[in-house]
Amino acid sequence: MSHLIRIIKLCAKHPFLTIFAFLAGSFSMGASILFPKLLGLTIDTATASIQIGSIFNQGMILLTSAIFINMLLLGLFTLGKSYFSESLAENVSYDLRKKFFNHVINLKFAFHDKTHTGNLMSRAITDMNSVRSLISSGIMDTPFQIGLLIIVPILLINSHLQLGLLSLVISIAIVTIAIPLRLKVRSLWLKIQKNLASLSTTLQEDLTGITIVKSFGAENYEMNKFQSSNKDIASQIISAELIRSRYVALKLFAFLLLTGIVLIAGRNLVITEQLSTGELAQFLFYLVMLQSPVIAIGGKIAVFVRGIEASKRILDIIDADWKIKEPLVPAIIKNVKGNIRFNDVTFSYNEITTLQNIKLDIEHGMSVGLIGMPGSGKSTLFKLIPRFYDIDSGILSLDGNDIRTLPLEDLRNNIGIVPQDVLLFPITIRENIAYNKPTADFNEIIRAAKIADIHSFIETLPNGYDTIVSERGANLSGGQKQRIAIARALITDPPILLLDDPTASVDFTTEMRINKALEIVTQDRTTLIATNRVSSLIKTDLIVVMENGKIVNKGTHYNLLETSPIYQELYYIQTEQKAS
Amino acid sequence: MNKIKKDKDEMVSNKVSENSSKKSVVKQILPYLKKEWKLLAMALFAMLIFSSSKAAIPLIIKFAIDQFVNVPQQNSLILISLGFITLAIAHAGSFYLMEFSLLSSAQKILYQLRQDLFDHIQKLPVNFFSKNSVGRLMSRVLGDTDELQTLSDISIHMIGDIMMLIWIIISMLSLNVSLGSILLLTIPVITIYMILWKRKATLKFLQARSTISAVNADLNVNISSVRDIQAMNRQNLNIRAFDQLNQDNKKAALTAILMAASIGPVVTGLTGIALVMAILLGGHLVVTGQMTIGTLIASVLYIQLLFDPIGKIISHIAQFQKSMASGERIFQILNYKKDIIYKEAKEMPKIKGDVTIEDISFSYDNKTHVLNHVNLSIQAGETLALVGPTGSGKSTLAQIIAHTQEEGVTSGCIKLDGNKISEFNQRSITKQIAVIPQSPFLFSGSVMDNIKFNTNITDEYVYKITQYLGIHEIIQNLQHGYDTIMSENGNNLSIGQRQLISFARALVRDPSLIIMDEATAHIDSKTEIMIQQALNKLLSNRTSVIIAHRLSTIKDANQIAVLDHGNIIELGNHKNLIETNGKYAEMYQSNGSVAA
Repeated sequence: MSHLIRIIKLCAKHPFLTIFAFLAGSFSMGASILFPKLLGLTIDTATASIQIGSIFNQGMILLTSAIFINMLLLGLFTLGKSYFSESLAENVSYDLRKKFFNHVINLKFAFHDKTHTGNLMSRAITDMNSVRSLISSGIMDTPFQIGLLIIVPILLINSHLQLGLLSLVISIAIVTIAIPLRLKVRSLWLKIQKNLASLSTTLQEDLTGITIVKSFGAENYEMNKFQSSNKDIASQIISAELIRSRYVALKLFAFLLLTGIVLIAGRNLVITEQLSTGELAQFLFYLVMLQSPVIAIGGKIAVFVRGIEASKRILDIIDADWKIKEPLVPAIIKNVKGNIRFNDVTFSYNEITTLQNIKLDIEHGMSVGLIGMPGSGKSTLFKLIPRFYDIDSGILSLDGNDIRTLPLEDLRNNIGIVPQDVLLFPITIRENIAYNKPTADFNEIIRAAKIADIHSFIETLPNGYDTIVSERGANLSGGQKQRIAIARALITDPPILLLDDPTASVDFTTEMRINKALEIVTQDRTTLIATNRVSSLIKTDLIVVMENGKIVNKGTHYNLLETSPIYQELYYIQTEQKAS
Repeated sequence: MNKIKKDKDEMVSNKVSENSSKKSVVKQILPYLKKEWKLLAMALFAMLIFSSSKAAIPLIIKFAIDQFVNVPQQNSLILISLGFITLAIAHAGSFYLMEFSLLSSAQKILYQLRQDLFDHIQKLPVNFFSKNSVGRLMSRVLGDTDELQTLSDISIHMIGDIMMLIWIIISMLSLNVSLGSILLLTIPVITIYMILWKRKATLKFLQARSTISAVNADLNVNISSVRDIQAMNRQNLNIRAFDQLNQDNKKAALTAILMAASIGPVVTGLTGIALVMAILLGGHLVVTGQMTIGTLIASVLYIQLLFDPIGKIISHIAQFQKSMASGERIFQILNYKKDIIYKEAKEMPKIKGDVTIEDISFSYDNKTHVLNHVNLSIQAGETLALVGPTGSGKSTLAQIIAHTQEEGVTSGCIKLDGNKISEFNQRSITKQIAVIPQSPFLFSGSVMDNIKFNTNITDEYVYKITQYLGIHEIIQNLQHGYDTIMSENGNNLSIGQRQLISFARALVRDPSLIIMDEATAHIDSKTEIMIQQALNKLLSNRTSVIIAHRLSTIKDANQIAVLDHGNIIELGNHKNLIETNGKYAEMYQSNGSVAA
């Protein structure tokens, strides 16, 4: 309920649209209620005109003009109602989407680690649509449907008590039947959606793993999997839709019968002159009018239930307080040198300690290699420096300043990062390299590309630097993407460079090339490389061996070969493979 | 259904003709409609009753008013009551019957279309999948089938609405010719206006839709790469870019909303004009005794019914075009010829493992050859390694041996134990061959499900195999052991763990021939040793074909074939080839035993 109130408050931020939508809605309802009344009067006046002998009398002219004007106004107000309420829904979803984006893009890594992209997207698309119809069809229309459901029976009761009550009872009966049925339909639709999701998973896996399917002769096996959800969907959709058809059919039957009853009972009233023909006709026109809210109300319930759930899902994200805390009084840093110091740093992730009492001094300009098994904490150590994750205890400082006292943007601007899983954007290579620094001129871009040893490759492409990277960089090899990412990290000429396993998933030749490029890149800046390939580290100033979140050995390649059993083992395994 | 398509497959050429016209869509959807003809006939019948009964409501009201209400001396109470009861039953009953038969038939057609399409796509040649993205094929199977299925629904509603329009016109004219014909003049006016409006509105709706797709695409890119964006401090720039798209969409959406709403006043305005004419003219006829008051009321009721079917017919036409476009896309795929490995043939007996590759040539397009007259033979229990640069044809050769691809083989054959595989049933061959791909693909479901994949083996047998491979404990140590559920693409397991599971999946089938694309993906050294050990057990006493990336791993192979542009340029064992000092020796030395 509180979510509904918040959505209403969001609507109230567009007071003109809200007020106009309600005014137009009220006038349009008024005009539609007036219409049967005018028709009834007209029929009576027309009957009375038989005595006068001419239809073209003042009363008739007045009434027909009133009908015409009423119709015109009805049209205009209905347009106004749907335009203003839909616009309101559109404006609120614009606001929500903007908030959602601005918030999500700044949420910290821990949040995104927990929440899949698909999950957030479905909130932004499907749930947003439900909120939109909650506003336009729920909040802005339901009052008028309820209004009709109250006012029309009152008018009917006013013109004849018993017949009016009968119509009211029948309408209420159908609405009462419709509401639980509608909720049942909704639960069926939730099942259908689940089945649709599993249908699409089977399909997607079958297509992605088609070579496996073919080589294991599993076509029929997959077919059966697909068939079971496919079958369920068909039968569930049929039963869900038929529930709806059933009460629509019930409504059609009841109201047609009601019309008959009114006509038959009305006859006696007309004969006894308790009711004029016009009034009887008016009664019939009102009955026609009453049918639409009777059917609509059931649907509104579903709109509200779905819309409120959806707004909760969207607002939950917007409310999530998962941001890195900026310092209240930020320290000012200029000309960062790149001295990094871990002073007894401990960090836990998901309540599991992943780094324990890390002590590490890195002088500016040094290149440091971090080596260890997957899960030893080397990548995690990395992610602490740009504050992707905040440490639990100890101090992590840059040039002597605790990084938590530095403005986040300044801190990150001084760090170039090449992630393990390089992600390029579906824009040109040039824009990708300049992603960090859109103001960079072409010479700067070429310079960065040259250092990363990717310039000559880019030149061979038909469109050179203007080649558009296809989705997820599919048109580039792993090594090419890796080197573009290195160029991208270098574009700001950062004093600190972090490379997370830059040679993972590339073949040996490419590895050699990347290592060569790195030799140049690491000059004059503090560089950290996390890897488990010994060959990438031989030339670094310091190698840190990690195991289970702790630093177990430190030293140069030759030191460690003598002192570190873990390093020895890694070196042995990797060179053995090559030598054999 | 399958029979019909199979016949067609043999006739239609692999190249999809560009001008696959609407006619052929109709022709190809017909078998699906025919299968549901009983339901569709019932729907049509119900639709006719429904539209007729709806059009009859004003008539019975007129009759009641003229013959009963305003005529005190006559007593046709029973007739009127019966009339209303009959009409109410017919109207409501036909509505339900129509909905029931339309829904059931539409869902059955949709079910069958999806089933056929899924089955067909699975059996298309391997290179079809490199040309068509997963996303695109998914939208064919999920989206386009849904659009096409509406075809029967639209057709019947179209008939119903035309029927309804005809009934209304006839009734209005029969009530009073002169009044009726004047009122009907509004039909051409509203029809022309609606057609023009629809044309313009469709454009605005398309604009609104394409702007919202741009918004969602941008959102998707930003969320999925949020870590990189934060690492590079691009949030503010991206927020601004997103806001621009968001605003563009708002603008386009508001225009579309106005456009959609704008048809309303025209319809009500025209209804108003028609009403005024009906009342004044009809009233005049009533006053002059040429018409009854009941007729006047009926005319007013008809005016309110008149514009509804016209609007519906116009939107049916638009939907019809959309369905047709979807149909074309679906049948394009259905007309694409299945790989010829899927054919009725005899069962391959249990194979020992002698493999003969006889004069195999392969081409995707009949012009450039991926393989040129390749000859090789492997004794049961031996290992053949295929080596060569990307594009040398080694993967294609492996696929042909595995019998997952036959379409495109222009000469030669593969023999297993001396039997030509092309003469045997595909399943009976693939059952005996295990393929281990480079990047292990796991399906959603548990580790156990993945190992058992498409077999009827027991849990105990699985344990036996994993223990033999030395990976039982690794699996047991996973979060939920054998019941660990794979997340999307198996991302909750490391590449090494996934590879080990894929070994187990291969071995539980007790294959006579193993075909393996050796992994290059970097895994840590300890896992690598484990994989190597498991692999040795896997391959012992079995015939194997290995696509090698790291030359160090295939030094013990009985034969090494070096491929280049579809030709075998060198053949021998490691020692021979090093001595020959050719391409192999060069590859071995130049990159420290690692080949691309």
